[in-house]
Amino acid sequence: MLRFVSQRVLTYVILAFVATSFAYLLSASLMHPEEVLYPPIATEPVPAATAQQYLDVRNVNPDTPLFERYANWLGGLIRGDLGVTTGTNKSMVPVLDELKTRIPISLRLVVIGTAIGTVLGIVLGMIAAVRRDSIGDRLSTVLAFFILSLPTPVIILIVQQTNQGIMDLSGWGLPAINPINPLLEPGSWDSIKYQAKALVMPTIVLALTAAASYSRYMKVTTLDVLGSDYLRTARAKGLTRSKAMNRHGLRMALIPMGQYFAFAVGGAFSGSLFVELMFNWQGIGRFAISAIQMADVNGTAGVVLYTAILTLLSATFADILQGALDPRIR
Amino acid sequence: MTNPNDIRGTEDASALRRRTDPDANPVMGATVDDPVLQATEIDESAGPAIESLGRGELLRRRFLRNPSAWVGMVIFLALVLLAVIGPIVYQYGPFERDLRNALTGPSAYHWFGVNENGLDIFARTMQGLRISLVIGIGTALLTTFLALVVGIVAGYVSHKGKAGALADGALVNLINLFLVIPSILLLMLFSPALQQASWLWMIPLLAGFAWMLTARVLRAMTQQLVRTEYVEAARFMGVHPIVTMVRHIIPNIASWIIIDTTLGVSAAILGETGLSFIGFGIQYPQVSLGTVLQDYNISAPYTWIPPAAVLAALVISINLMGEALRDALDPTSGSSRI
Repeated sequence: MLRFVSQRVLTYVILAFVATSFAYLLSASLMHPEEVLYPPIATEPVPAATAQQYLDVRNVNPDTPLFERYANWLGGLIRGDLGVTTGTNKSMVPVLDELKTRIPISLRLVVIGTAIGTVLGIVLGMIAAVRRDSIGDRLSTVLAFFILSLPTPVIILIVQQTNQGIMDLSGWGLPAINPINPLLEPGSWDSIKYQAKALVMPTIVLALTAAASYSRYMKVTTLDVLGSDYLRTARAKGLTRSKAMNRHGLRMALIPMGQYFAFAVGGAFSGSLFVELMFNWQGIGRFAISAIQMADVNGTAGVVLYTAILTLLSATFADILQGALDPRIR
Repeated sequence: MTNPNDIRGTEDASALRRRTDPDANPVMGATVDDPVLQATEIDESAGPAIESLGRGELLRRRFLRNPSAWVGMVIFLALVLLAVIGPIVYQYGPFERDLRNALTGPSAYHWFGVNENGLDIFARTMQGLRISLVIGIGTALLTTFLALVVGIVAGYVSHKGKAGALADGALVNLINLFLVIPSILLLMLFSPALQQASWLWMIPLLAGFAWMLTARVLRAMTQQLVRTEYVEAARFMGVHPIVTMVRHIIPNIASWIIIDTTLGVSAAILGETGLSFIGFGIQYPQVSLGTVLQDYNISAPYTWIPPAAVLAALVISINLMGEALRDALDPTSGSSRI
């Protein structure tokens, strides 16, 4: 199993590296952060020497060949330096610092949302498959169908509007925007309470979308398992329906889910992008949008590196889980 | 496609793995061919009252027997008519400002109300519906075409020596690579550059990031079909590979392709509206349902509920049709019962 996992991890590291390199080359050739030095953004002419220095220090000089810039960036990456933000807003902050402040904000959103969504989806999917054609099955299937037919912004709007309606009626509601309240003292009990309350709505959105797709998938794999020979054998040797399902069925039904989970984190990232935008959370998703809007080459590459590492970690986690579940791998 | 809201690929992938796994199911042709067709074999004495049905006819009947197919078709046609006629008869355009009535609710003059910039929401929704329909259908067709070419070629050559296996492996790795980077980031990178040319560039752009999963499924199906006797026979008779693909392989997977294209329309619409919503999709001289939703105002629900309802109705109607088609094709579903 160790060999299986290490082999997989190596593949993921290569994939993550290729993906990030690809994203860097793409953004370096498509974006033009040097536009900030010319009209209409620059109001007065910039001396040539200053311009060169400005571009060189940010590693975005268009006179430098693309692959030399890539080599510079790669050298920095090995030393643990992701370069500085290069956007048309002229700010120059190390990308790593920017990511450090933003990752905790995004990560709690993605991790909590995905975890709740996965568990909810697996449970609902299993119930739907085991109790086929019951009211619970019909309800969860129809709900999953509707949620999957709505774009994430609309789901967010429905949740926010519901909250607003409750607030108008009863005077009590969850905070609509911002993850933290700047007026409260950091670390105090009130501040923590506010943060927990602010987390509720974004988590509901992410958990709902995740649960909808997981429950559909889980229902299919569980139905596969329910018709299998080994489950009939388990029943024949005297196990009750629920015992057979728990001991043999659930484990086999979860194996294909592992692979799906590995790449669904990418989907959770795009979900959190909308959530951060509409709930005004200054996380990675917000950073990605502004980086691409402002032609920030290094920032974009940093975001892709983050998502690649996130996918890598979740894929490894899924593989370890699969190794633990699947007797054919051990 | 890493979009978790993509309704395809969950049931399909599993059902297909079951159906096309050579170990579990050695006679794949038996499940791909219609099982009911064999059941309708009759002896001559039964008389002319019983006719055997063609595959297309059977699919059509099963599809039309499903009430959700009818609901989907009616809603979809109504929306298409609305998109065509709406902007013709309505008195306001999508960029005409009525600032005096800014942020007022639905009225006889402004059917869906006016947003805070004085723009009429009904006019914008209709224009956005047009754009979203064109982009959704165009993207789905182009995606299917790309996936068909890549998937069938990869499936056909994968058994042909080292070069074939190499090309096949390259495709699989390419698909995995696209699964690592969220496609929304790449779309955001490309979109502004292409938008300057024409909004129609959105179609190849979205299709370029959506064909991979479909191609993988088509490749697996082709690999199974290449091993069947009639394809082998065609090859030994010296039929050109392209003729074989068009005449023997595509007809066998056509029904699956139709379903995938149908559900691909809704996936493309969701992708496009999401991208437009964050400002990287359809740009100023055009309106999409995503850009209409962008002007939402929580304190005035009429600014977002009408476009969201139109968008939801569109996607739901397409998904209903797609699911009904899938049920019609699936011999184990209820709709195969006469």
